[in-house]
Amino acid sequence: MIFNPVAVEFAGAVLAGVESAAINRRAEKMVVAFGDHGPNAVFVDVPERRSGVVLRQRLTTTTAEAPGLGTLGDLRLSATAGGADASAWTVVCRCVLVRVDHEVGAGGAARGGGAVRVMEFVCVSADGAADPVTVTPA
Amino acid sequence: MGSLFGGVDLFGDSPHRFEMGSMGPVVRTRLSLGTIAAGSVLIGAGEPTVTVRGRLVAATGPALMARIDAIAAELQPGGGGIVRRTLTDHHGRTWTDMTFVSFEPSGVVDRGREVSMEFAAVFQRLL
Repeated sequence: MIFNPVAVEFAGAVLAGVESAAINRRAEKMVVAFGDHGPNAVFVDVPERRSGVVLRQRLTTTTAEAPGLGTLGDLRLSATAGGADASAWTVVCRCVLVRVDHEVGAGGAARGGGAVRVMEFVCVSADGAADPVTVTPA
Repeated sequence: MGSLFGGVDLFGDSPHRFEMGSMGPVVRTRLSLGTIAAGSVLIGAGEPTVTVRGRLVAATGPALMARIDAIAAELQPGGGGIVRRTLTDHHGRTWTDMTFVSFEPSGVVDRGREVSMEFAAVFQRLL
């Protein structure tokens, strides 16, 4: 989880006002095998996994339109870990935008509640074996 | 303990389970044999079957294929005499005079932390 990334770009366009980026991993397919000795699983593996990023972007009157769903591009995040660590990191992943939602805070944007755009990306590995998310010290 | 077929540990530490097939004689309805009549016909003694189902696991794709090849090499040959051996499950239960008649890898090769694939192996006491 990255709070207040310093800079965010997707497909070459700057995404302003991103307040957090969450890198999520989950098993798309899980293999669980049992044996003849008892009730517990004896083999568990994850042969298909999904890596993704969820961005929360605070909207202002000048925020650009969201990229189109299905857009493929490199997502680049420059951040300080946890928003408080002095060490800086750059996260890069090739991904596809799959969801754009909007949330309006209490009272609505006009009353200062603020509006947030939530963008979800699914990461694409170059060859299926390589981790699609690379994290490097900046 | 591991399972054995003729003293050979075919499936190693890959998870697998034993499934017994039906026991008893072969009985068919007269109708299924083409006779329009009620009742059944006793055909003769049945052939006990044991199916081993599991997931072969290896560290690499080539290692998995080598395991599959090694298991397939133990199958009953298409020609020549019938090979009869004793099949032993994890708990020491034995089925004597069994023949390894079928080995079927199924589904895709799953590549995660390890490389694995489901399989079913059929052993039958041929008459």
